[in-house]
Amino acid sequence: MKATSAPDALIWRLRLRQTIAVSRYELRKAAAGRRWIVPWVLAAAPVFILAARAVIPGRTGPGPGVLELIFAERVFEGYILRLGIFFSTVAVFVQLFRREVQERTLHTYLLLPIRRELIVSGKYLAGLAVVGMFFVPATGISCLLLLGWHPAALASYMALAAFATASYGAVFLLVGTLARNPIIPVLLVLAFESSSGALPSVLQRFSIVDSLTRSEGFWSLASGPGLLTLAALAGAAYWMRRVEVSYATD
Amino acid sequence: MSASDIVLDQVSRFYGEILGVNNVSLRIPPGITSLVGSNGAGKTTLLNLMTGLLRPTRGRIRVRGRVPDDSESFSGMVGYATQFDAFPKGITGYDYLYHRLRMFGSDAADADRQARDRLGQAGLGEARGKKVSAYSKGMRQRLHLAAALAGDPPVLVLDEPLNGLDPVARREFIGLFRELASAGRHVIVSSHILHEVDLISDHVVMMNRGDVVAEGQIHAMRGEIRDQPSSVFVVCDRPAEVARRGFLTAHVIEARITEEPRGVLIRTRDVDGFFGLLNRIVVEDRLQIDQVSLTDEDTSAVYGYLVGGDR
Repeated sequence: MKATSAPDALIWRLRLRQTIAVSRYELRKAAAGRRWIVPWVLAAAPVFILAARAVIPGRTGPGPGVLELIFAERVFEGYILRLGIFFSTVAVFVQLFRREVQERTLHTYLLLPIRRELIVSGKYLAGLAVVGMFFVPATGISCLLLLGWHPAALASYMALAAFATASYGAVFLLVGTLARNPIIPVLLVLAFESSSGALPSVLQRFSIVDSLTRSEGFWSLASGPGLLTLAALAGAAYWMRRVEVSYATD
Repeated sequence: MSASDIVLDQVSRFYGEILGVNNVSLRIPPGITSLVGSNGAGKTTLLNLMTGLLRPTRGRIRVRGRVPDDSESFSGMVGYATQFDAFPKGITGYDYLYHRLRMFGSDAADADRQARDRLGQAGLGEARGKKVSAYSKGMRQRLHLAAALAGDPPVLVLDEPLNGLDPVARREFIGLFRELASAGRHVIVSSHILHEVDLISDHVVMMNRGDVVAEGQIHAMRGEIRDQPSSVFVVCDRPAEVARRGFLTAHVIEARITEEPRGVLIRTRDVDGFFGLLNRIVVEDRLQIDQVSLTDEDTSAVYGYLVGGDR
């Protein structure tokens, strides 16, 4: 086994610090630009509705086992995954690089003494924080409000919400770098995800919603959406390495 | 030839079929170098190439021995104040600089100290907590300069840095450029304000339609333009006598007498010959001279001769 030399360790420590600094800057910009509003509103909605249901008296509850089904199919899959996380990641991740190009600020990153892949990593982590900090707790609270205290279910749903944020986030980060008009690719992803049940099994593996709701274990997630996430991040990193500032030509 | 120079070797850059810069070869020593040219001449393209924001379509660039492809080591060496006057929404001047320094790798305390120092040096100490969107054009120029100086880069590239500045700030900036250049740094400035280029530059690169039309020191460049007559203004007690004696030679082609100040503007094809004549007039006729100046030996005149005067 080869020991890591001191300079290498210092370089990697510097790179880690730079990645965290990029994330912190993005979070500062997200706070200043109120980019957290969309995920906040979409994540808060089920929590408020389920909290209201819990405190408003006079409703007869469904039979045993039905609540679990309602939560799994309607609240988690139907709302949190397909609507809340999907559109929150569209709102946050598509804009991570696209906004820099539109506002003519991308060069401020390109002039930093930092590997360009780290800029992608830092921005991606900031996007995860912005969407995840609302949706992971909102999923847990919704589960708690509807099903009561079931630690295993709670942890499982929260982990799946985090995984969905990571996967959709990577896909939409790539969309934001490649597409001049992101609406069409976002609609294509939406159509793919909505019709995943009718797709051949080889394509179904790459459906994020399908993989997360089939619950076939870690390796199923890793080989489908996990690979998709890594490929999307690699694509965004490649774009970042090649990108040039061309919004002014004198 | 030195490893501390900026070297462009047959560099071309095209935007599709549109020419940005064409086959540019330059060797720029440390000191203040001005890039001069009209809009569309290729100044910003050349600066973007030197700083790694653009890649050349053809040719090679080395800045103090390093290539722009390696952003990690290259960008720490080059500070660039661009013309792109945009900052993220809602960010203060302090936030902008502090976070940039953190991304350079500084720890929190060091970034805070440096951000305050740099903003103070740029005259933004009191405005550091204000949102950049509330800054004036001049204040944003100061912030660009402070950001370019973050990390103490040995190469500073400034695209129209004096735009939007009041005269006091211009003087301060020019003083700072001289200070940085005298410390052995490269200060590359693009400007279309040519009389300021004369004030600050050690070296001038003139561009037109993507080509470098001349480079070097202004005096030497003027000397190379032999087909254009030189203009000499002589303030003296007997301008008519200077004009008369001038017309007796073959090289003086025009003489115009002025009243305020009292003198004569001579156009000659042999400036050294005219100075010899002037010496003889002083000795033989006791001419009283108050001032002699070459009026077309500045950047503006040389650029005009080279590209047709349309700046």
